[in-house]
Amino acid sequence: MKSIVFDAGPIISLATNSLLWLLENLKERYGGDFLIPKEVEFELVEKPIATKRFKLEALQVNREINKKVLAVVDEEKIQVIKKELLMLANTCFYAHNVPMKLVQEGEMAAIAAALIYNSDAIVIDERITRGLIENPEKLVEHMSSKLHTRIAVNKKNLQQLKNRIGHLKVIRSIELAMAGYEMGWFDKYLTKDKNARKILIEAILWGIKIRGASISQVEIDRIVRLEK
Amino acid sequence: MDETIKKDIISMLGEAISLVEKNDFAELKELSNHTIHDASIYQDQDSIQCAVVVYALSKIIERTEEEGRKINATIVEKLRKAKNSLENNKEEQYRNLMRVLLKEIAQTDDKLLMFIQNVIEKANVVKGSKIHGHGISIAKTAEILGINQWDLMSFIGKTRIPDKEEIAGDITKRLSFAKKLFKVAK
Repeated sequence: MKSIVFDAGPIISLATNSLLWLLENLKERYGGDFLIPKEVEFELVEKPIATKRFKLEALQVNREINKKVLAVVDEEKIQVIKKELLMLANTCFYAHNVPMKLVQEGEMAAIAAALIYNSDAIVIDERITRGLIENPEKLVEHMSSKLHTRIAVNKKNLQQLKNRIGHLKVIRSIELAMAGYEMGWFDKYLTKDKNARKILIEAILWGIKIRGASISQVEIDRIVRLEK
Repeated sequence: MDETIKKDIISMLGEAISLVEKNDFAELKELSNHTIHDASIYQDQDSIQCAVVVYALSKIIERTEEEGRKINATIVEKLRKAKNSLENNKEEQYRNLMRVLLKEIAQTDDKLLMFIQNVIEKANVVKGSKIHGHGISIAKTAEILGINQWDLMSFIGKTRIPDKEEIAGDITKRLSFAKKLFKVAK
């Protein structure tokens, strides 16, 4: 069965924007499984359910899991590959001879699941993990500039990491929302204003951005121009 | 404790003491970023805790100033003792003093009636956003600081961090791929 794996971030983006309903619609459209590893489930449900601020959102995500819109995967193979990827990712870059630990278990578990299930895509909002998959060299430049220090690269580890995960296709919660927009699922929110479509697209994108998805204003402006 | 971290914390505490005495919460807030580089690289609790304490102090002073009050003098005394402990290589004593200081700040906060998110939690989220801005993933940052990703994302979304350098990806290619995946008609 074909699949798409989700990291925690995009689900959080959708939940905090009251857009979790998109998942069931998209899953039906896609015709495959939406997977989350158990580490991601922990971040989405158990952790926030213990707080006051995001308890309700955690329950809403839990409902999507109970409805089998999101399927939790928990296999030994994921743990094995997760540990390998974690070791590689967190020993690629060094500052002052200290290995930079950039990522954590949940993110690597999602990537491990995508590899094991040969998923069509992995949905990740946050830019550091995306950067590791798509453009790790740019990540080095970014860290070097922010830390005001030279970042040494373990070229062997970096190449191994690129070989293992560089082929993965990444999309974000923004792209999920835009797919839903293109299918008319947001038309119920259109106003009678002559710029109604532009207003709607901006509302969707800014809502997702302000609640934590890593998308820049420049990207939003481009998408608005492309989509309206 | 790594010597670089120790040196940076001692320097930061020295400046913090002077700024607290002057009630300069704006400079104090800026000072709280000085151990963020160390926190991002070493991901050690000492750098993070120091940044959190100094930031939390800046917020407490800001609020007590608004109310025409002064910050509790024992806080300055504890900062001095913490700095002296570290200068004399008494690391455990330093950490104990910082823990006591955090507790005292939290108690001050109760009196200011913060409900949902106390000032220490807020300080962790704010410093977390800085660490993420330096190149550590959101989930890893949340793990280091003992906070949840939801709070961190909620804060980061309101900053300009995502606008400063997009690290990867072509927006049109990504959109086009997503539309293909979900069979969106052209």
